[in-house]
Amino acid sequence: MFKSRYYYYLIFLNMLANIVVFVPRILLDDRRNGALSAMLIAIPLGLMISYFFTKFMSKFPGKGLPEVLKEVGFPKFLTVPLIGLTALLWFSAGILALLAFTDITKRFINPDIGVLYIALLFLLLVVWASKLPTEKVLYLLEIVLIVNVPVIAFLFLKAIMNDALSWPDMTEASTYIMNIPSFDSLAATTYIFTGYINIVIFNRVFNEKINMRPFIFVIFIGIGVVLTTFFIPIGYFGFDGVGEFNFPWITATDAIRIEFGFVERVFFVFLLLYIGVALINVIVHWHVGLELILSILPEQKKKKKFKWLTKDLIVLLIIASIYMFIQFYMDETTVFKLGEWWLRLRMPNEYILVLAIILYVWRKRR
Amino acid sequence: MQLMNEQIKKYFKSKLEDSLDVKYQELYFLGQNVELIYINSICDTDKIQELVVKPFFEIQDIRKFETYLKSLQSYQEFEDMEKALKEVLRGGLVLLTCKSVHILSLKNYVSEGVKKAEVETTIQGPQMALSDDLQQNINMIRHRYHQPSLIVEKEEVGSVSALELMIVYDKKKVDESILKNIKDKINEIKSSKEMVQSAGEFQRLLTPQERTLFPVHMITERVDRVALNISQGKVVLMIEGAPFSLVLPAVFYDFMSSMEDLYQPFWVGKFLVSLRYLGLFISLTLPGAYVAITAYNPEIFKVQLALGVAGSRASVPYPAFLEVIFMLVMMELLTEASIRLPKSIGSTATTVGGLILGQAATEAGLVSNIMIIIVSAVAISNFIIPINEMSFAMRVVKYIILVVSTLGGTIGLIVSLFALIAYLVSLDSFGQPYLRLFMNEAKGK
Repeated sequence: MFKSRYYYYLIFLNMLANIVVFVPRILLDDRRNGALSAMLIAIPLGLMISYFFTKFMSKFPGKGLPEVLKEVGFPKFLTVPLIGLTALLWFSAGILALLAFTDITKRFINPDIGVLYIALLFLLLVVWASKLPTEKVLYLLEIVLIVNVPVIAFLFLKAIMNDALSWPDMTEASTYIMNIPSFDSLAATTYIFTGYINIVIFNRVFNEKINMRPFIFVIFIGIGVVLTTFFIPIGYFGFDGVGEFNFPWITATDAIRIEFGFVERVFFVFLLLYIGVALINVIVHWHVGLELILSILPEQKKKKKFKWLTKDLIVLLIIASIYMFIQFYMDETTVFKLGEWWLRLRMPNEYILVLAIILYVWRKRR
Repeated sequence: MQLMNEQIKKYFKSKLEDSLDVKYQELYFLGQNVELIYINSICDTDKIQELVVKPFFEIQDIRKFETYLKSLQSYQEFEDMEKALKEVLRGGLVLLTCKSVHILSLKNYVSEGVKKAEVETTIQGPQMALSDDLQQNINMIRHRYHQPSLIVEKEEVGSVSALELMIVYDKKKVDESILKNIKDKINEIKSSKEMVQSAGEFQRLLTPQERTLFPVHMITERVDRVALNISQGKVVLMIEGAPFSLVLPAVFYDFMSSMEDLYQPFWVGKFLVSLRYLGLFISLTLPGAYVAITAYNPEIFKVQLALGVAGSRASVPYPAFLEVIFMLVMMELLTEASIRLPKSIGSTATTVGGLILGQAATEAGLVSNIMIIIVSAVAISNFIIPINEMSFAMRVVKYIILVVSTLGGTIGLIVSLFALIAYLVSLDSFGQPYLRLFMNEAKGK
């Protein structure tokens, strides 16, 4: 009953949401130290892992990772840390995205409003929406993507067609292709392809095998996305100048104009749309994290007082207060360092988890 | 048997009290007698004369007369006294012979008859609306939906008003689980309230949460819409005495569609639908966007436009959100006034309010010119939403968006729009998701 298109939405959402904040900055910082070669390795690596893990999960239609682990008899003492770790990774992915977009909002859109105030506004929405039932999260995701993506695609096209784009600088960047690949860039680029992990929960509503034929488009779009995220800022700011910016992508879009519209500066449209995409991304991350955590927590006892304070709300409130704490006590540089470290840790963790599960089941089957 | 007749008479006398319009009529002829009990204000007395009294004297033989009665179309078997009483209260007639009891339903229903659709009008579609009389309604629906699988069932609502309720659906197309759900729900609530008189009131009882904003059942007066919805497998509920029916389950798109869309050429229909979504978008976001942009981010606009807005606001002494709220409230008052006023005064109110007030308010420097344009655009585009309930709900949502954008600027606007979509997605209408894309494809499966 559930269409596989939702799976591709998830992959696509993750690509879209991550090409403006941490990933381009890490890639651009490494532009002389092997970013491009790392990208070349990361693209097949990321695609392959997502392909195999999806294939693996679609052998268990209608089951999420917790159910799958139970079915194949994965050792219990390993299940809890494994699921807990995945949930933690996903919660922190949401927190980092939220931190970045609060910062962007404060800096580019609403400098008059306090950061905490913006944070609260986002949190109210995200905490409420990540408690929605799993199918509903997907419906919401579909609506947001279908509304936003055409406009974002138009703006991308406008960015690429712009006369101000400097092709010589982009050519210069591509001469660094033979450098030794950098680990940071590898980790950052694979993050763009990591949307498949969401299937650990969303597989619960995919009752049929996921149709893997459209995956070929993911390959092309993925390559296009990785190349755009790296080259467009270089084209706008020059190979040297691009290192000066905190958010090279967002500043780059401010170079684009629509001469005949109500809104001349494309940047506002782009940002406002992107905040929608970022929010749904955080909702998806937290939803997955929440469902994973709920699967390892014990059953809730019936309470008389505080009926509204359910288990899922408590988990989300804890996560939300961690986010608020970071927002309050850490400055932007620290947050960025945090993001970098998180990306570094994420890749090996994620791949070890995925490979461990696949190998275990494979050996057991034989 | 004689004894039982006495019992019945006593029962009716004790229950019906001494009202003027309760009749206990006795007919004697050649030593045979029958007794009639009925309420003459709700019975068709001509029919009584025609179908009961005259034949009684013509047939002469009581047994033949009884067989004749049983052949009548409105004949009902006597089961127990309570049922008989109920039937009498609905315009039935109880006929006691010395041997047995018969019931005939000869009700005379005063209704306005079939009228033209006025709430949901179309230009060239069918013009009939539902009427107060359930029989007429079923008649109209059957004439639009010639299928043997069309099922009509009867229920009652309200412990005192005890109005008749008809459940109409197509047995082949309806989703059994949804139908069962609805029937359970009706059984649960049918006597929870004393008086239930309109489809809207019944709808409020049906909704699980006490406080809702968005309608999850559609109220419609159009017969063609009812027929269409039945063919889509929905369940239609009709209450006696109200020219509106309730369609369950209803999703967001149903409220944005007019029957006209189907009667126009394809592209015209699509154009009309997209116009409605544009109207919805404008009426929801414009007030919020005005405040967010003028108060927080005037740089979003082109320089000329930003200066134009600022220039027009130069004489306005208070912040943008007060200006917007002031004008919106005036507009709401005007809308409400023109709905409740008699038709002959209504146009005066709109002229005085709309033209004079708008003009004077700008000249006095209380609101900017652009504000007037925005308020009228919001009002007009709100009226584009074809189903009244949805249009009213969106009227309220507009203020929520306005408040959030006043507090949070353009981000508030985006977040509140996002939250609105998320809220609509989170709703359910009898097990069907309220809002999701590509609904039809899911239905086809």
